[in-house]
Amino acid sequence: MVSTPAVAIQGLSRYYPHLNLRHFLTLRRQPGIWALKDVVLDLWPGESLCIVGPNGSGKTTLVKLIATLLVPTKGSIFIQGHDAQVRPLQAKRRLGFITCNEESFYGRLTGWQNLAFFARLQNLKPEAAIPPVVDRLKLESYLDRRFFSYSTGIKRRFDIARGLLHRPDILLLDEPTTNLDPISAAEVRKLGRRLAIMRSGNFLEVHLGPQETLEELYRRVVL
Amino acid sequence: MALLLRKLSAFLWRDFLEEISYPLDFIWQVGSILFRLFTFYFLARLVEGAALPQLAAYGGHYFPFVMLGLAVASFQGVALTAISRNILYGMYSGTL
Repeated sequence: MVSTPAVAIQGLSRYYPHLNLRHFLTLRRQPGIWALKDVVLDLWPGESLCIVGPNGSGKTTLVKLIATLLVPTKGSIFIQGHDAQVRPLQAKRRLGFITCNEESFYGRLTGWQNLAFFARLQNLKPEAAIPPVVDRLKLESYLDRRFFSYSTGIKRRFDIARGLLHRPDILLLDEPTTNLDPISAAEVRKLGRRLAIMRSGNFLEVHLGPQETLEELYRRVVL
Repeated sequence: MALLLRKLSAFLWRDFLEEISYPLDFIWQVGSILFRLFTFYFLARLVEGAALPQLAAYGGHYFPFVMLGLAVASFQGVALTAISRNILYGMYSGTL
């Protein structure tokens, strides 16, 4: 019986204040936006969870809060028992955040050089960390080409490869099929399912769109 | 400390790789620096005879004076703009 959830979220809220230079001068404040209010969620080891919702419903905010990229206004997040606010490094070591933002790679560098840079940031030896990941994602033949020359699907696979370099227990995916054609999107989904089965780790994905197909892939879908 | 240095070296190596990723552009940049040195070398030869008291600290030579001035000015320019530019780039690229 497992007693510690992989991710435990308690009373999580995030407020974005409406900041404007004019408001500082006039002392008149406009109300901001509550992206999340009192979210309570547990993700148990081995579980895959998909969060579905329309634009602006706070999906990306939630993932960024779990990834410790944002600070919550209220509430707490525990990653395998570690308080993400008190011990962010301990939490980050267990998380793989797949941003699905191609701009976060360096277009002039090759795939290998990009992955090697991110591996070094994780204090990993590129020669040891990269081959198993690129082998799993079938990226060997793309490693020596410049990043900007890849198709969107290959860029997405490199994004996933980056998130897997440090062998995280929990993978966070932020709309991994955005801008992909239906075939590439299906491929990424299949890959996600394969990784989940192989690693028996956790998957938390936020997604925009119909949840019918997602229910086949994920054990829990949260709307 | 060793971890910090390793991460710092990763950033420096990445920047170096980006710089040399287009060799012609890299050569052009190095060439522009050399061209500037070349220009100031001849300018220094032109004013070499003028005994300016301000140049006493540089052995009376204009060339080391202008080199030092250019290096400090370049460093100041980079120091003032690099942090804000990199933060902006990090926010745009999603790495921050």
